[in-house]
Amino acid sequence: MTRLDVALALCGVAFGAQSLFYPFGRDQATHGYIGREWLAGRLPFVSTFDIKTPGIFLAHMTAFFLFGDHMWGIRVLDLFGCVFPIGVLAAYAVTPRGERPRPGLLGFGVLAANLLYFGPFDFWNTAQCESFCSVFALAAMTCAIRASARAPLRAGLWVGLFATIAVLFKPPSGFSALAAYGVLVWALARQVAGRRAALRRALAATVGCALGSALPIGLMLAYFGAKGALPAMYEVLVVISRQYVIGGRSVTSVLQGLQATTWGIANFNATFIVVANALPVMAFRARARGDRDTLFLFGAAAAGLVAGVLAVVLQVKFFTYHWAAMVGLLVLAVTALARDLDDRLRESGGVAGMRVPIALLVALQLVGAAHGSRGLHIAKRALYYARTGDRGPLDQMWTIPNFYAWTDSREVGLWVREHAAPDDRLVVRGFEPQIYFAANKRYDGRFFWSTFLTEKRFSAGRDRLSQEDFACFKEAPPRWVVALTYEHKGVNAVETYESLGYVRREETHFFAVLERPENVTFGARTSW
Amino acid sequence: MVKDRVGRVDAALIALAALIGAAHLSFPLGREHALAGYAARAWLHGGTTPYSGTLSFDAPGLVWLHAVVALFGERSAVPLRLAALLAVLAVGALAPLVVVPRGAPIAPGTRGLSACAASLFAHGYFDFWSAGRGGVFVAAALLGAAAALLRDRHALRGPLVAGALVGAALTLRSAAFPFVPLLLGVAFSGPAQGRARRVGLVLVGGGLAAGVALLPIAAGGGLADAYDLLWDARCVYLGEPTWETFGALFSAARLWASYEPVTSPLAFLFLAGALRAALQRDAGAFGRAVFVAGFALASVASLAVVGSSDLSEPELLVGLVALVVVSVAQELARIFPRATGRAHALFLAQCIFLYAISCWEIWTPPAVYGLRWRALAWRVTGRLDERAYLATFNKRAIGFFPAENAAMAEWVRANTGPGDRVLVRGYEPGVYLLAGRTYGGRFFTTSQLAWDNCAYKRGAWLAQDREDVARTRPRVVVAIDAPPGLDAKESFLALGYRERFRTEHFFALVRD
Repeated sequence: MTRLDVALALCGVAFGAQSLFYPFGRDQATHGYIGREWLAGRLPFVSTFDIKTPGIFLAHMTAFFLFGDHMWGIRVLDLFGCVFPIGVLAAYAVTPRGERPRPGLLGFGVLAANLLYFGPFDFWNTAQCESFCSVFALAAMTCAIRASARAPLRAGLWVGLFATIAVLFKPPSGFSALAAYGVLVWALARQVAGRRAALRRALAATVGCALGSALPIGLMLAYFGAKGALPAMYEVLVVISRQYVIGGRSVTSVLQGLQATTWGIANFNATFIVVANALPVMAFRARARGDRDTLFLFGAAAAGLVAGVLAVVLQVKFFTYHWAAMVGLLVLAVTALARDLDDRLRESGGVAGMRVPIALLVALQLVGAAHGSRGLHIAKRALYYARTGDRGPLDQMWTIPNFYAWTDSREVGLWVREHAAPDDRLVVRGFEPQIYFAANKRYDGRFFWSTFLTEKRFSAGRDRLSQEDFACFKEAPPRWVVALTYEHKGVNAVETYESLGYVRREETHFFAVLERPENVTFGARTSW
Repeated sequence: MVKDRVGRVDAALIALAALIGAAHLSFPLGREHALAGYAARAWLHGGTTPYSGTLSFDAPGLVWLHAVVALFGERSAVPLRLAALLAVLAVGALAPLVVVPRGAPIAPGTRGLSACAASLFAHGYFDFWSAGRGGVFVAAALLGAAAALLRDRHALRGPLVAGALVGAALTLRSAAFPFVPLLLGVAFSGPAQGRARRVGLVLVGGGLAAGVALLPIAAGGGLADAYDLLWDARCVYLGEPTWETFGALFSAARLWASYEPVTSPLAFLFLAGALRAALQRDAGAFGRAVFVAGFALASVASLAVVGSSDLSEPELLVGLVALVVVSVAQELARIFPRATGRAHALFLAQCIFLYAISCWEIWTPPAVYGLRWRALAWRVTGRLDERAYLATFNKRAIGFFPAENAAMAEWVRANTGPGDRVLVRGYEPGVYLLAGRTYGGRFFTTSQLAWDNCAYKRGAWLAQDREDVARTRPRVVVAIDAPPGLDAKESFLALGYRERFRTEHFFALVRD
């Protein structure tokens, strides 16, 4: 570790530190709510509802445990638990086994990871499952690249373990797992002579992978089994998730898919496009000079990129944050190219010490006006907030017109916090779980957000879920309800709760706060 | 033989560049084109001095340009579109002369790539409304000036021509002034002997060009009004200034973001090439890179000082795009000396793919380019008649209906004589051009009298408008379907006009 490494890493972390200002988006709030409740003893799937695998809930639970009831906790984990290790792992992945990363390489990796993650991805698209997938997928790939033919079982064990943890954060990471497994077999095969020896090591590595995979899956099933939560887990993760996977597709033609893929790639500024061009060219040149190690490294990086793209494309949703899952593998490719460029410059007597790759990395960031503009906006408004104490302009950065009303959410949440007693319950309708955090409240029912009660395309069992929620609401009507002003019937509508006797107390543009009356009149209703 | 083959590659690519722009030849004029076109024609034929006789917010050079273009067709949009296409191709041809040092070979395919890049940018990203509004002419003049300075070794001709072209660029766009120090720097950076003379000649050339453009206006007594409209009244066409820290930077970033899928990789390759040149102490290549960077800076500064969100503004960047592409093409030729053709082909294919795929749907402003080609194909094959084709250019949000304009103009032309005065209310100067008629008053459009932007001299202008109407007593008034007021037909029915013809949004009123 040199001064250059430290300086670069600090620059990277300073760039990523903008995320500590980020509030929750809807997804982070959903995962955070479940994590917070889990910490309080209420199990995911049983007491709270979301179709994600439990990894991200565990991450939020850890954040709340470590840092208390703050929205920045998960951002700290994201920055120092995902992005920082991605940089370190990438540096080690491109360094031959038994050697230390060359001066500047560790810092380069950390800087690249921060630029390629916090540059393209804003508050909505960071601290999702994908950053955790990304670091574990890269850990698996690093273990595969550095695998020793003398210990194939151990190498397989680590690859299987990390790859499966990535999958437990989000199943599409399975593609990265397959890529890591392929690279592992390739890495072992190229170290031994003869097909038999290669096969033997591949077999041992496969056994290791199976064992490594079994460990986290076994632990998860044992935990939820011991708590009696497996049926609920099955219902959510298999039955309802299947509906979501089918019903949630956002493109309907190959051309749309191609376009969405290109947008995702272009969201990395020029990085992905440059890497996709440079990898084959540099691999061709490595082959021409007989440099098999570099050729292998570029092959592994390319396999990782292909797997990363496939993981996004085959979800057929193309949400921006889906691309975050491949950040680790992209950083690996960038770092591999940087190391090779540095090698070539050393050979030719040019500028060494990673300075040219660093300059190119910074140039890659500078050619994206959209990202730079967003960063400047945040910096400017954060400075204004620090100077005046007025957080309004900064909060506007988190409001997405016609989609996500952060300022409204915060306003109603703070109103409830101010007017509610400590033990009061609150239910927030729609998909606005961030309000629970602004209000510091919880709901007793499983459906603390109601999208799966209203969106037919997501759930064939919608009516049954609706009945369950109604029964829960009826059993212990919460004192406070936040309903949507722009819907006029059904579970999300203000009118629905007014018909039960709830009284409108506060209203913003999108939300209304209703208070429970002395007696709630449900009549003969059994569902919303 | 090799030279011939190389020539064919460039020729084929230049033909492709022309083809990319060919669809624009069928585009109608937008309101802003027609505004300048009317002022130019009124000047050319009626002797009405721009600014004093007609209310125009266009730079003098643009009015000149429209006057020249009008010589090739009074009522058609084709001459202007063709001139814009030629300017784009000129940009493509001039960029290699600027980037590649004199005496050094221009890599095969570079000229063609430059033309394709310029054409793809100028025609792909700018629709009928925003294309051909001046940016491409300014860019061509500026690159011509740079090429003259860098290539022409004649002690007198090079700097004078360069100066004249800079002067022309400034009369076309006064906000092009950030390029002046850049080009003076180029003049200064030549051989030490005669530096001051070169700079002086550039300034003289510029002064001459500006003088030629302004003298006729001054002779017509329009200079004071030009200053009044272009400077004092700038809030009318730019809106009230809004001061925000880094505001210009943010708006530039927003503009640039539309082009990022293509321009980000280009910009990176350019920067990488510049870095390479610096590290290898390749002074020639690095110097050119510095010039291109300076051109980029001047382009951004020129856009920022205007601070307009008008989508036509970035058209100026076509020069920068061509310069960057030539730099990249030269760098690719250096990296792949034995596979230059393939490297260029792959590069061009990716640019086109990224452009096409990023604009496929209506997610970005340039998305309509493909739709324009489709409509043109339908027009050519007879699936659309002329009226239906024009209707594909409707801009309903701002009430712009070119097919209706054409129908109204046709009626006006058929029912009036060449000497008859015609007044078109609202902001439809295209009707005058299509009908081949003029008004005779200063306010041939009324939007500047009603815009929310600012009420500069509104009272005086409204009074002058009333006087003009009373003085010229137009035979036909085209009113618009609007609430009672300046543009509504009721205002003229009260003056004794009668409705004789109407389209969905316009009324033709005739004086009894």
